[in-house]
Amino acid sequence: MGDKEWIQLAKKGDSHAFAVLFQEHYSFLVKYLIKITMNPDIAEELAQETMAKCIEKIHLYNEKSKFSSWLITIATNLYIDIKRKKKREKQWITNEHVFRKIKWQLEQQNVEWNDALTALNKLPETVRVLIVLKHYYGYSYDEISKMFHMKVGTIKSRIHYGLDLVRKELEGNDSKKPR
Amino acid sequence: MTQKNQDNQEIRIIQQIQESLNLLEEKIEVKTPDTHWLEQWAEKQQHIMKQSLRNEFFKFLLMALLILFITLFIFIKAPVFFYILQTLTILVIIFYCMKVQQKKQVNKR
Repeated sequence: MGDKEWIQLAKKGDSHAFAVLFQEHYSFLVKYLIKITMNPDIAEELAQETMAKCIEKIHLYNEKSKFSSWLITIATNLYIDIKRKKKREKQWITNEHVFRKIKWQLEQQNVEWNDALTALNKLPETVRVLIVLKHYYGYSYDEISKMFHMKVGTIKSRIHYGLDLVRKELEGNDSKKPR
Repeated sequence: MTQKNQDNQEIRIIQQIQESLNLLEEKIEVKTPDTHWLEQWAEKQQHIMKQSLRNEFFKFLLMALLILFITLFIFIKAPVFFYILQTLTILVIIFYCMKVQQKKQVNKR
Protein backbone atom coordinates (compact mmCIF):
# COMPACT_ATOMS: atom_id res chain seq x y z
CA MET A 1 0.00 0.00 0.00
CA GLY A 2 1.27 3.47 -0.88
CA ASP A 3 0.97 6.81 0.90
CA LYS A 4 -2.22 7.66 -0.99
CA GLU A 5 -4.13 4.62 0.27
CA TRP A 6 -2.96 5.17 3.85
CA ILE A 7 -4.00 8.83 3.62
CA GLN A 8 -7.47 7.80 2.47
CA LEU A 9 -7.77 5.46 5.45
CA ALA A 10 -6.39 8.12 7.82
CA LYS A 11 -9.03 10.53 6.56
CA LYS A 12 -11.63 7.99 7.68
CA GLY A 13 -10.07 8.04 11.18
CA ASP A 14 -8.04 4.81 11.00
CA SER A 15 -5.37 5.09 13.71
CA HIS A 16 -3.25 2.30 12.17
CA ALA A 17 -3.05 4.31 8.94
CA PHE A 18 -1.84 7.33 10.92
CA ALA A 19 0.75 5.14 12.66
CA VAL A 20 2.09 3.84 9.34
CA LEU A 21 2.26 7.35 7.84
CA PHE A 22 3.99 8.77 10.90
CA GLN A 23 6.50 5.96 11.10
CA GLU A 24 7.42 6.46 7.48
CA HIS A 25 7.91 10.22 7.80
CA TYR A 26 9.02 10.60 11.43
CA SER A 27 12.77 10.56 10.82
CA PHE A 28 12.48 12.98 7.87
CA LEU A 29 10.33 15.34 9.93
CA VAL A 30 12.57 15.33 13.01
CA LYS A 31 15.71 15.81 10.92
CA TYR A 32 14.13 18.76 9.13
CA LEU A 33 13.14 20.25 12.48
CA ILE A 34 16.66 19.73 13.86
CA LYS A 35 18.01 21.72 10.92
CA ILE A 36 15.75 24.67 11.58
CA THR A 37 15.76 24.59 15.40
CA MET A 38 19.31 23.27 15.98
CA ASN A 39 17.92 21.49 19.02
CA PRO A 40 17.04 17.77 18.99
CA ASP A 41 14.73 18.06 22.04
CA ILE A 42 12.68 20.91 20.61
CA ALA A 43 12.66 19.10 17.24
CA GLU A 44 11.11 15.97 18.78
CA GLU A 45 8.59 18.00 20.75
CA LEU A 46 7.59 19.89 17.61
CA ALA A 47 7.38 16.66 15.63
CA GLN A 48 4.81 15.34 18.12
CA GLU A 49 2.83 18.57 17.94
CA THR A 50 2.99 18.40 14.14
CA MET A 51 1.61 14.86 14.15
CA ALA A 52 -1.19 15.87 16.52
CA LYS A 53 -2.06 18.76 14.21
CA CYS A 54 -1.94 16.38 11.26
CA ILE A 55 -4.57 14.13 12.90
CA GLU A 56 -6.73 17.19 13.50
CA LYS A 57 -6.37 18.65 10.00
CA ILE A 58 -6.02 15.57 7.78
CA HIS A 59 -9.40 16.30 6.16
CA LEU A 60 -7.93 19.58 4.86
CA TYR A 61 -5.00 17.87 3.08
CA ASN A 62 -5.79 18.11 -0.62
CA GLU A 63 -3.06 15.65 -1.78
CA LYS A 64 -1.76 18.08 -4.40
CA SER A 65 1.61 18.29 -2.66
CA LYS A 66 3.60 15.43 -1.15
CA PHE A 67 2.56 14.31 2.33
CA SER A 68 6.07 15.12 3.59
CA SER A 69 5.78 18.68 2.22
CA TRP A 70 2.46 19.09 4.01
CA LEU A 71 4.05 17.94 7.26
CA ILE A 72 6.92 20.40 6.73
CA THR A 73 4.41 23.24 6.23
CA ILE A 74 2.60 22.39 9.48
CA ALA A 75 5.86 21.97 11.40
CA THR A 76 7.29 25.27 10.15
CA ASN A 77 4.15 27.22 10.98
CA LEU A 78 4.07 25.66 14.46
CA TYR A 79 7.75 26.53 15.00
CA ILE A 80 7.31 30.15 13.92
CA ASP A 81 4.16 30.50 16.08
CA ILE A 82 5.90 29.07 19.14
CA LYS A 83 8.94 31.30 18.59
CA ARG A 84 6.70 34.37 18.43
CA LYS A 85 4.85 33.39 21.60
CA LYS A 86 8.06 32.63 23.48
CA LYS A 87 9.53 35.95 22.40
CA ARG A 88 6.46 37.67 23.78
CA GLU A 89 6.84 35.77 27.05
CA LYS A 90 10.59 36.52 27.01
CA GLN A 91 11.37 32.96 27.99
CA TRP A 92 13.24 31.85 24.91
CA ILE A 93 16.47 30.12 25.80
CA THR A 94 19.69 31.65 24.53
CA ASN A 95 21.37 30.48 21.34
CA GLU A 96 24.33 29.14 23.28
CA HIS A 97 22.06 26.93 25.37
CA VAL A 98 20.25 25.70 22.26
CA PHE A 99 23.55 24.76 20.63
CA ARG A 100 25.01 22.88 23.59
CA LYS A 101 23.25 19.54 23.11
CA ILE A 102 23.64 19.29 19.36
CA LYS A 103 27.30 20.33 19.59
CA TRP A 104 27.86 17.64 22.19
CA GLN A 105 26.18 15.02 20.02
CA LEU A 106 28.37 15.91 17.06
CA GLU A 107 31.55 16.06 19.11
CA GLN A 108 30.86 12.56 20.42
CA GLN A 109 31.21 11.37 16.84
CA ASN A 110 34.40 13.39 16.32
CA VAL A 111 32.62 15.87 14.10
CA GLU A 112 33.52 19.50 14.58
CA TRP A 113 30.86 22.15 14.87
CA ASN A 114 31.34 24.67 12.08
CA ASP A 115 30.87 28.39 11.56
CA ALA A 116 28.28 27.93 8.80
CA LEU A 117 25.90 26.27 11.29
CA THR A 118 26.46 29.07 13.80
CA ALA A 119 25.83 31.65 11.09
CA LEU A 120 22.71 29.82 9.96
CA ASN A 121 21.32 29.74 13.47
CA LYS A 122 21.86 33.47 13.91
CA LEU A 123 19.44 34.17 11.06
CA PRO A 124 15.82 35.07 11.81
CA GLU A 125 13.79 31.84 11.75
CA THR A 126 11.63 32.99 8.83
CA VAL A 127 14.77 33.41 6.73
CA ARG A 128 16.55 30.24 7.91
CA VAL A 129 13.55 28.08 7.06
CA LEU A 130 13.47 29.41 3.50
CA ILE A 131 17.20 28.83 2.96
CA VAL A 132 16.98 25.26 4.26
CA LEU A 133 13.96 24.46 2.08
CA LYS A 134 15.39 26.03 -1.06
CA HIS A 135 19.06 25.14 -0.86
CA TYR A 136 19.02 21.91 1.12
CA TYR A 137 15.73 20.19 0.27
CA GLY A 138 15.63 21.63 -3.25
CA TYR A 139 12.10 23.05 -3.18
CA SER A 140 11.40 25.55 -5.96
CA TYR A 141 10.37 29.13 -5.26
CA ASP A 142 6.88 28.31 -6.52
CA GLU A 143 6.52 25.34 -4.19
CA ILE A 144 7.67 27.37 -1.17
CA SER A 145 5.33 30.15 -2.21
CA LYS A 146 2.38 27.72 -2.22
CA MET A 147 3.42 26.16 1.09
CA PHE A 148 3.52 29.41 3.04
CA HIS A 149 1.26 31.66 0.94
CA MET A 150 4.11 34.08 0.27
CA LYS A 151 5.03 35.99 -2.86
CA VAL A 152 7.92 34.54 -4.88
CA GLY A 153 9.63 37.97 -4.83
CA THR A 154 9.50 38.08 -1.02
CA ILE A 155 11.00 34.59 -0.76
CA LYS A 156 13.80 35.47 -3.19
CA SER A 157 14.69 38.65 -1.37
CA ARG A 158 14.63 36.96 2.06
CA ILE A 159 16.90 34.16 0.84
CA HIS A 160 19.28 36.66 -0.73
CA TYR A 161 19.31 38.71 2.47
CA GLY A 162 19.93 35.55 4.53
CA LEU A 163 22.82 34.39 2.37
CA ASP A 164 24.33 37.87 2.62
CA LEU A 165 24.12 37.71 6.43
CA VAL A 166 25.74 34.26 6.45
CA ARG A 167 28.54 35.56 4.21
CA LYS A 168 29.19 38.52 6.50
CA GLU A 169 29.19 36.26 9.57
CA LEU A 170 31.64 33.84 7.94
CA GLU A 171 33.91 36.68 6.80
CA GLY A 172 33.83 38.10 10.32
CA ASN A 173 34.84 34.72 11.75
CA ASP A 174 37.66 34.37 9.19
CA SER A 175 39.11 37.75 10.10
CA LYS A 176 38.99 36.86 13.83
CA LYS A 177 40.90 33.60 13.36
CA PRO A 178 44.66 33.87 14.17
CA ARG A 179 46.91 33.61 11.11
CA MET B 1 32.58 43.49 -6.80
CA THR B 2 31.46 42.20 -10.19
CA GLN B 3 28.26 40.26 -10.69
CA LYS B 4 30.22 37.10 -11.51
CA ASN B 5 32.25 37.35 -8.30
CA GLN B 6 29.08 37.87 -6.29
CA ASP B 7 27.46 34.82 -7.89
CA ASN B 8 30.53 32.68 -7.21
CA GLN B 9 30.59 33.79 -3.61
CA GLU B 10 26.90 32.97 -3.21
CA ILE B 11 27.45 29.50 -4.67
CA ARG B 12 30.35 28.93 -2.26
CA ILE B 13 28.21 29.94 0.72
CA ILE B 14 25.34 27.69 -0.41
CA GLN B 15 27.80 24.79 -0.69
CA GLN B 16 29.11 25.47 2.81
CA ILE B 17 25.55 25.54 4.18
CA GLN B 18 24.68 22.30 2.37
CA GLU B 19 27.78 20.53 3.71
CA SER B 20 27.04 21.68 7.25
CA LEU B 21 23.42 20.57 7.08
CA ASN B 22 24.55 17.22 5.63
CA LEU B 23 26.57 16.73 8.81
CA LEU B 24 23.42 17.14 10.89
CA GLU B 25 21.50 14.81 8.56
CA GLU B 26 24.10 12.07 8.78
CA LYS B 27 25.40 12.35 12.31
CA ILE B 28 22.36 13.07 14.45
CA GLU B 29 20.50 9.86 15.22
CA VAL B 30 16.72 9.85 15.30
CA LYS B 31 14.89 6.93 16.87
CA THR B 32 11.54 6.29 15.22
CA PRO B 33 8.86 4.94 17.59
CA ASP B 34 7.36 1.57 16.60
CA THR B 35 4.02 1.27 14.83
CA HIS B 36 2.20 -0.10 17.88
CA TRP B 37 3.20 2.88 20.05
CA LEU B 38 2.31 5.32 17.27
CA GLU B 39 -1.06 3.66 16.80
CA GLN B 40 -1.88 3.98 20.50
CA TRP B 41 -0.67 7.58 20.48
CA ALA B 42 -2.83 8.40 17.43
CA GLU B 43 -5.87 6.84 19.13
CA LYS B 44 -5.24 8.92 22.26
CA GLN B 45 -4.92 12.10 20.18
CA GLN B 46 -8.16 11.30 18.34
CA HIS B 47 -9.88 10.77 21.69
CA ILE B 48 -8.57 14.11 23.06
CA MET B 49 -9.69 15.82 19.87
CA LYS B 50 -13.20 14.36 20.04
CA GLN B 51 -13.49 15.33 23.70
CA SER B 52 -12.45 18.92 23.03
CA LEU B 53 -14.88 19.09 20.09
CA ARG B 54 -17.67 17.85 22.37
CA ASN B 55 -16.78 20.47 24.98
CA GLU B 56 -16.76 23.20 22.37
CA PHE B 57 -20.14 22.05 21.08
CA PHE B 58 -21.58 21.97 24.61
CA LYS B 59 -20.35 25.53 25.28
CA PHE B 60 -21.78 26.71 21.96
CA LEU B 61 -25.14 25.09 22.71
CA LEU B 62 -25.25 26.65 26.13
CA MET B 63 -24.50 30.12 24.79
CA ALA B 64 -27.13 29.70 22.06
CA LEU B 65 -29.75 28.66 24.66
CA LEU B 66 -28.81 31.56 26.90
CA ILE B 67 -29.21 34.05 24.07
CA LEU B 68 -32.51 32.45 23.04
CA PHE B 69 -33.89 32.61 26.58
CA ILE B 70 -32.82 36.21 27.08
CA THR B 71 -34.36 37.21 23.74
CA LEU B 72 -37.60 35.39 24.51
CA PHE B 73 -37.70 36.89 27.98
CA ILE B 74 -37.25 40.39 26.60
CA PHE B 75 -39.79 40.04 23.78
CA ILE B 76 -42.50 37.91 25.36
CA LYS B 77 -41.89 39.08 28.91
CA ALA B 78 -43.00 35.67 30.16
CA PRO B 79 -41.65 35.09 33.66
CA VAL B 80 -41.45 31.34 33.04
CA PHE B 81 -38.39 31.91 30.84
CA PHE B 82 -36.74 33.83 33.62
CA TYR B 83 -37.29 30.93 36.04
CA ILE B 84 -35.98 28.38 33.54
CA LEU B 85 -32.93 30.54 32.93
CA GLN B 86 -32.24 30.84 36.64
CA THR B 87 -32.58 27.09 37.22
CA LEU B 88 -30.35 26.34 34.24
CA THR B 89 -27.69 28.78 35.46
CA ILE B 90 -27.63 27.17 38.91
CA LEU B 91 -27.42 23.70 37.37
CA VAL B 92 -24.55 24.73 35.08
CA ILE B 93 -22.64 26.28 38.00
CA ILE B 94 -23.09 23.11 40.10
CA PHE B 95 -22.03 20.92 37.15
CA TYR B 96 -18.97 23.11 36.50
CA CYS B 97 -17.92 23.08 40.17
CA MET B 98 -18.27 19.31 40.33
CA LYS B 99 -16.10 18.89 37.22
CA VAL B 100 -13.39 21.22 38.60
CA GLN B 101 -13.43 19.35 41.92
CA GLN B 102 -13.17 16.02 40.10
CA LYS B 103 -10.16 17.27 38.11
CA LYS B 104 -8.46 18.50 41.28
CA GLN B 105 -8.89 15.09 42.91
CA VAL B 106 -7.47 13.28 39.89
CA ASN B 107 -4.45 15.63 39.85
CA LYS B 108 -3.88 15.06 43.59
CA ARG B 109 -3.80 11.28 43.05
